[in-house]
Amino acid sequence: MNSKEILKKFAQRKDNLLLILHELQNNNPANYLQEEDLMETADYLNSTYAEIYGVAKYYSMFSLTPRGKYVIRVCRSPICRMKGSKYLLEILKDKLNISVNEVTKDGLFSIETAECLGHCYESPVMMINQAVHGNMDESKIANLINDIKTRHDSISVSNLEKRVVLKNIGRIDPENINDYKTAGGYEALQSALQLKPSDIIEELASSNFIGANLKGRGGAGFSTGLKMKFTSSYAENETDENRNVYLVCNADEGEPGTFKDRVIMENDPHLLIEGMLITAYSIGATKGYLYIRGEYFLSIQRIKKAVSDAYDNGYLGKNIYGSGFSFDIEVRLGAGSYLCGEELTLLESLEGKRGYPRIKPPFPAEKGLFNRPTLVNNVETLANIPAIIKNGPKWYSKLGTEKSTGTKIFNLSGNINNPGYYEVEFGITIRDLINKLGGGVIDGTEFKGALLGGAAGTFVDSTLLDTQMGYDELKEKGAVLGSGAVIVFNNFSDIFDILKSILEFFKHESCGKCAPCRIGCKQLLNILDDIKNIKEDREKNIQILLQETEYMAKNSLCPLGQSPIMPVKSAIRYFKSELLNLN
Amino acid sequence: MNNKKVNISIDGKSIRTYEGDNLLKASLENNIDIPNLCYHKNLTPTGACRLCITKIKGQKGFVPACSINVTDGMEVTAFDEEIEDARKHTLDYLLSEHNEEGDNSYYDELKDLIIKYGLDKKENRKFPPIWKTIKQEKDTSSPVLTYDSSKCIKCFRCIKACSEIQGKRVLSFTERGIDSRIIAGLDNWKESECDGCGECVQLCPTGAIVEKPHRNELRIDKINKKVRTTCPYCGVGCQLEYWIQNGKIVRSTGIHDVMPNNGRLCVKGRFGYDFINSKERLTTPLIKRNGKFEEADWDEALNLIAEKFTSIKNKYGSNALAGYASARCTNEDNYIFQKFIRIVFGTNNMDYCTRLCHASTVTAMLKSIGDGAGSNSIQDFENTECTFVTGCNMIETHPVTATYLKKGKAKGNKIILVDPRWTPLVKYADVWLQAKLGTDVALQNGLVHVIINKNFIDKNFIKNRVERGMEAFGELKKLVAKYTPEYVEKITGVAKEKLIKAAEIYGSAKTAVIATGMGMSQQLTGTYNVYGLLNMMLITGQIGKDNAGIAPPRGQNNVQGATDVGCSPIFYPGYIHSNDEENRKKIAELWDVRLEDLPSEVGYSTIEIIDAAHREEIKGMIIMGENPMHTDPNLNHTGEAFNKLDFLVAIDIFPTLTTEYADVILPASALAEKNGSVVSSDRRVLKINKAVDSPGLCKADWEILVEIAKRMKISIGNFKNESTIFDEIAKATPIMAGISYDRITKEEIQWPCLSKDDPGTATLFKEKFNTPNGKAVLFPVDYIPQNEQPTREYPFILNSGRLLYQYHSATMSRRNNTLNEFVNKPCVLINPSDAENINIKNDEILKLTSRQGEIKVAAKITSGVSTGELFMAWHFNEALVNTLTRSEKDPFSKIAALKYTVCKVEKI
Repeated sequence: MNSKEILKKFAQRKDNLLLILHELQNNNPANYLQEEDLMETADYLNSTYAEIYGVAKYYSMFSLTPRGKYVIRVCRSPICRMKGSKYLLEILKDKLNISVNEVTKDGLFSIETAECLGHCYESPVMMINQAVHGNMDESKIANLINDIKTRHDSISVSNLEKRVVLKNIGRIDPENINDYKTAGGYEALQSALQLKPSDIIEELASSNFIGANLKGRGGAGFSTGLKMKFTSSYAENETDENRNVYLVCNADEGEPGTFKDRVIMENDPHLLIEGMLITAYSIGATKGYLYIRGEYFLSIQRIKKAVSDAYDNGYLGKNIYGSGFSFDIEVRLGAGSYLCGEELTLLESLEGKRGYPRIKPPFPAEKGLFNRPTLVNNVETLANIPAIIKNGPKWYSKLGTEKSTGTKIFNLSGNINNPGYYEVEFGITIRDLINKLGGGVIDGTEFKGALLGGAAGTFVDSTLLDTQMGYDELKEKGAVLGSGAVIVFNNFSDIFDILKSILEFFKHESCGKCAPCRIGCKQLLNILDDIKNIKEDREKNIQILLQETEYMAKNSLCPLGQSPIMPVKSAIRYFKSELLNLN
Repeated sequence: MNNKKVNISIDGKSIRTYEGDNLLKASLENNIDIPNLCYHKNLTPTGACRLCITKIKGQKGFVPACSINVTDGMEVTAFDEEIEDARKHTLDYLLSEHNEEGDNSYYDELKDLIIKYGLDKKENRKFPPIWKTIKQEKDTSSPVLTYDSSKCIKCFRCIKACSEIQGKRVLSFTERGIDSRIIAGLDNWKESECDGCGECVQLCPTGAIVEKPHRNELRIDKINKKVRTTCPYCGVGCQLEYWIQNGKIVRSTGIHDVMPNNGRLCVKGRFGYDFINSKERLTTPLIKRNGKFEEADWDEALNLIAEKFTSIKNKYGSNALAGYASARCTNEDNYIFQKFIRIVFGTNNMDYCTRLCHASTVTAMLKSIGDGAGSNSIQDFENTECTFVTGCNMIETHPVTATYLKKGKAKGNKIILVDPRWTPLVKYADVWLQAKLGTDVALQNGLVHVIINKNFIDKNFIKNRVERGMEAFGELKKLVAKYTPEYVEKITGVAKEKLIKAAEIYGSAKTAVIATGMGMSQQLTGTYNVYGLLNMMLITGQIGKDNAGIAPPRGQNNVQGATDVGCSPIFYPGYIHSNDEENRKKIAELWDVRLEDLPSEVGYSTIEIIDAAHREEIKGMIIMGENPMHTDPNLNHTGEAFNKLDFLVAIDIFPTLTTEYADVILPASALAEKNGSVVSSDRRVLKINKAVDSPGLCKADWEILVEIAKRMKISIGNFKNESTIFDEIAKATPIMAGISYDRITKEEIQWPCLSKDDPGTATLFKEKFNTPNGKAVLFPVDYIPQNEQPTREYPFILNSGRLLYQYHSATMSRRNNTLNEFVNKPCVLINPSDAENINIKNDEILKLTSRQGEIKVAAKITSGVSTGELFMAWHFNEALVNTLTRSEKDPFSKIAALKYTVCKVEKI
C-alpha cells in the first residue's frame, strides 16, 4: 500500500495524526517515516509541514531514518538497569555489530532503547518489533536472533489475592466475547442502564458512606465519583444538538515498574469496555477514546478486537439495549511519550499534537478534548466499575481499609523471587506483599528497600515494611502508593545508579515546555554526578539536589517536573549514608 | 471575559479590573511589573517561563499570573522574598541554558531581567552554563531571518506568532525536553512554507530569531530615532515604526495596540523599505533634449513646464490638458493635484489607477448602497460568522487583512472562496467555487437562486431597507429563476453541490462579510458582477450591522484617499458630483476662485484620457507617481498615445517605463520622506510621518504642483505645511469635516466624521443607505457571455494578478534585495494537461500572443489553474502582461477587462 492509500483510510482530521504515523511507519519496509510521507500527511490533513514534523519528532516511537526490519528495543528503566540491561545492549551491539540507533548492513536489525515496557517482573526486557522478551541473557539473545518467537506468561493465584478486576484472568479467552458473557460480562451494563445516571455517580462517590469511595487508580487517587460529578454537571450544559461529551480511557501506561493496565487489556479487554460504557452512560458521554500506549502491541490488538466484537454484539453503537443511550469507542495509540499519560497532555496527544501539558484551569470536566467536557479515567479505575454496579457499593466499600476501599493490582518487580501482578485488598503490608506474594527477596540476599509507585514514586526501607498499602496509610509515612508499582531491591543494588536512571528517565521524558522542568531535569543529573565525583562536597551537593527538586516541584507546570522530588527526597531520607559513601 | 468590573488586590494595592481578565495582563496594565518572558498580550498564555508566579490567597503554592483569571476579591502577592528567589532561580536556569553572546542588534528581554536580578554578575549565579553540552543548531537559510537555538528560551512566542496571529502554522518544535528547538517546515526555513512576514522576529524576546537585513550595521544603542508612519504598500494601512540609524532606515516593525494591524506586518511592510535608499532614485529634475534626459535645476524645469502647459491651454483650451493622480501619494498631494487640474488646467480630465482597480465595484456600490468604500472595519473579518471572498487573492494581496480572516476561521467561522485559480486561501476555505473565467454573474445569480429557494432571505430587511421592497425582490426572483444549480454548473463548471453548500453557509450565517477583489472588478462585466454580489447581500440583510457588509480591499496605500479628496473626473472632494452647483459655489469660495472657473462637466477617465491623447485631442499631461506604461491595458496603444502628446511631465521617485516618454521628469520624495495622511481600505484616516530626509533635490509632490501653479500665474494656495492642507481638505470634504492632524495623532478615525465631536463611523448604513432616498437598490442582472471567446487561433484565456513579494509595477518592491530573494522573475501558470498537449516543460520559455501584442515568459506547470486558462503576475517589466490586454471597457465604470484576454501559447 502506498502512503496515499493509507491516508485515505483515515478521516481528514488532525487528531488522527498519531494513528496515521503509526500506520505509515508500520507499512514502511524500513520501519520509518519518509519525508514524503510527512509532506503528504500535511497536505492530506490540511496541516503544515512543521506541525507534522514536530509531532513525528516528539514521539520516540517514530523514526525519520530507516530502521531494521526487526527493531530491537532494550528497556533502560531503572529496574532493567538493575538487572543488567546495560549488558544486554553491549551484547546486542557486539552480536549485530551496530550501535544504538543503527541498522545492520542487511537491513534486518536495528537497536534502540525504550523506557519501561511494563514487563518489569521479567527484567531485563527487550522488544523485537511487537513482541516483548523478558529475563534476557546472552544465550537467549542468541536464540532469539536466530529464531524469533513469542513467549506467554503463566499465572498462579495465591489465596492472599482478592481478584475483582482480574477475576476472569486465565479463565476466559480474551479474544472471545462469548467467554466474557458466559462469565457474567455485560450484565452490569444492563443493570446500569436501568438506573438513573446520577444514582450511579452517587454509588461511586466518596461523599457519603453508602458510596463505594472508588479512587482513581492511575496514581493520583482522586475520587472517581467526584470527577464524574464535575464532568456530568458540565455535560448537562451541552444542550446543542451536536453535543459532544467525551470519556477518555487513559491506557498510556508508562510509569516504570507498572504493568497492571496491560494485564487487564491483554486478558480481559471487554471488562474495560463495559466499565467505559457504564461510566459514559452515567456522565452522559457521547463518545469514548481509548488511548493505548503505542508499545503495547498485544493490548492494542486485543482491545481492537474486543471493540469490534462489542459493536457486532450491540454493546457499542446506537441505542444500546434499546435504552436510547448511544456510545462509540475509538482506539487511539500513543507513540512513545511518558508525559502523554498525564491527563491534559494526553488530550493534546489525542488531538494529534505534540505532547505538551495544558494550563489548568480549565479542567477537562469543563473544557477537555476538543474543548468539550471530558472525563479521563485510568484503565484499572474503569475496570473496577462493573463489579461495583453488580455487587453494590456496600460490598465494595467493605473491601480494603476504611480510607482505601476495594482492591488494588500491585506490580512486583526487582530483586524478588516471584515478580508479577497481584490483586489484593488495600491494607496488606509491604512485608506481606513482598514475602508472601512475591516470594521474598532473591534467595541469599537481603532486603534493602523498595521503590513504590514507579519513577514518580518514593523509596522506602525496612523500617516501613509493616506499613499498610493504602493511599492515606502510606501518605502518613511520607510515601505514595502511586500506580501500584513495587520495585524491590536487595543489598547488592546501587541506589546511586537507580536514582541516576530515574533522573535520566525524567530528562528524556520532560517535554521541554516549562523552564524549571526542562532545565532542572538536566541540572539534577549534573548535580548527581557532582555528588559522586566531588567527594568533599557530597553533603552540600546532596542538599543542593534536594533543593533543586523542591524548586522544580514548586515551579513546574505539570506533574512531571513536580515528580523528581519524590524519589530524590525519599532516597536521601533512607539511603543518604550510601550516597555519602559512594566509591 | 465579561464586562463585570471587580476589585482585586495585588501586594495591597487595590485594582479595578474585569472579571475573568488574565491576571498578568491586569497587573501589567496597572503598572505592576510582574516579570515575564513567554507571555505576550496578543497571544494565548503559555505558562512556560514560570517567571510570573504569584501567591493567591486560598490557593496552594505558586500560581503563574498568566495562567489564572481574575475573580472578585482575589488577593495576590506578586512580590515577596520567596517569589523573587524562585524567579531568580528560574532566570539562573534560563541563563545556564542560554548563549549570552549578542551583537546588540535586537532587544533582549532576558538580559534586562538578568540585570534586574543581579545575575549579570557571574558570582551571583548558581549554575554553570550547560548550553554548550546541548546540541545547538542555527538555521540561516531564510532570506529574511536567522534562528539560533543557543539564544532560544523555548517560550513558544514565535510559534504562536506564526499560528495564532498570522494563521500560518509554519513553526514547531523538534525533539523534546532540553534538546527541543524551533524548526520551520521539515527543519529548513527556506524550504518551508514561511513567507517571511517576520512576526516571529517581532515577538522573539531574546534574539534567537533575528532579521537578516542590516544586522551587520544595526546597533540598538546607535538608533537615532523611531518614527511611526503608515506602510507604503497595499491599502490595509498598517501602522509601523521605522528605526533610523545614521539617517537611514534600518528596521521596520509593527506597532501594537493600534488598528488596523495591531502589530502585524507582512513581508513587504517589514522587509521592503530598502528601495528608499536605492541608488536609482531620481534626485534631480531632468529635461529631455534631443531624445536624451539632461539634469536641470528646479527653476529651469518648472519654468519650462509652466510655459508649455500655458501655451497648450491657450492654444487648444483647458480640455486639451489632463492628469493622472497617484494612489501612492498622500491625501495632501492628491488634494493639491485635483485643485491644480481643476483651477490651473481648468478641466476635470483627471483620474488614476483606481479606474483599473475598483471602478466597477465603486460604480455598483454607489448606485446600490450609496458609498463605494468598504462598509466595515478590518476586524470584522475576524468576528463575522462567514466571509465570502470573491476574486480576491487576499493572503498575497492583503496579507494583514487575511490574518484577521484566518483568526476568525480558527474560531470556527466559515470562509467561502470564489476564484478561478488556486490561491493560498483555498487551504482555509470551507468551500471553493472554481468558476470559469468570466462567469461570475451566472455564479452569483445561482447563489441568489438557491438562497431564495431555501428561504434564507430577510423579508424585514427587504421591506424596510430596499427600494420598492418585495416588488423589487420579486423582479430579482423572476430573473434568477432560470439559474438553477444545474444550469449554473453548465456555465461556470462549479459542481451544483458546492454552489448549494456555499449558498447555505452564506444564507444561514448570522453575519457575513463580502470581500471582493480585482477578479470581480477587472472585467467587461465588472459592474454587473458586483451588482450580483450586492443582490445576494441585500436579500439576506447582510449589511447595515456590525460584522456584516461588503469590503473591497484596496490595492495601494491611498487608493481610497485619492478619490476621497477629489481626484476623479466625476467627483469633487467627498464624492460630490461635479455638476452639483451648490457644492461648486462652496468650493469656489474656499479656493477663492470664480464659480465659472470650476469645471462642471465630467472629465475623461483613465483609459479615455489615453484614447483622447491617441486622437490628439489631449495635448499635454502631468502624471504624478503613476506608471501607466506598465499598468494600463493595451500598452502598445498607450505608448503611441504618449508619443503623440505635445508635452508630458512625470513626477516620480524612480525612472519608470512611463518616465521614458516624458519631456520633463521631476524627482519626488518617497512616502517615508514626507508628512501627510492616507486613507485605508476601511476608511481610517492615517498619518504619514517623515522618517528620513529626501535624497538630492527631491521635493514633496504637492510642493512641486504649487510651484508650477505659481509659474502659471494661478495660485492654488499658500500652505505652510501639510497640516494646513489637511485643514482645507476637511473644509472641502464633508465626510472628513471633523478630522484634523491633532485628532488622528491621538485617535483612530474612520470617515464619515462630520464634526469635531464625531468619533467617526466604523460600520456604514446602520440607519440608512447613502442613496438619495436612503434605501438600497436591487439591480437584477442577467449573465452575458464574454464578448471575446477563445478561438482556434487564440485558444487560451489569460488571467492576471499579483504576488505577495512584489507590488504593482514593482518600481518599489523590486528594488529590495530581500523581496527579490523570494521571487524575482515572471512566469505563466499553465495546467499540466495543456502543457502536455503543447509539449512544454517547466521553465521553458513560451511566446504568448494576443490580438494586442506578444511577450515571452517561462512556463510554470500547475494544476492551480484550470485547463484552457493561464495566469500571470503583472509585476515584471520584462514580460508586460498589459502588452496583451485589451483596452475595451466596462460601459458603466470604464474599467478595462484586465482579467480576461484570449491568447495563444507557442514554444520558441
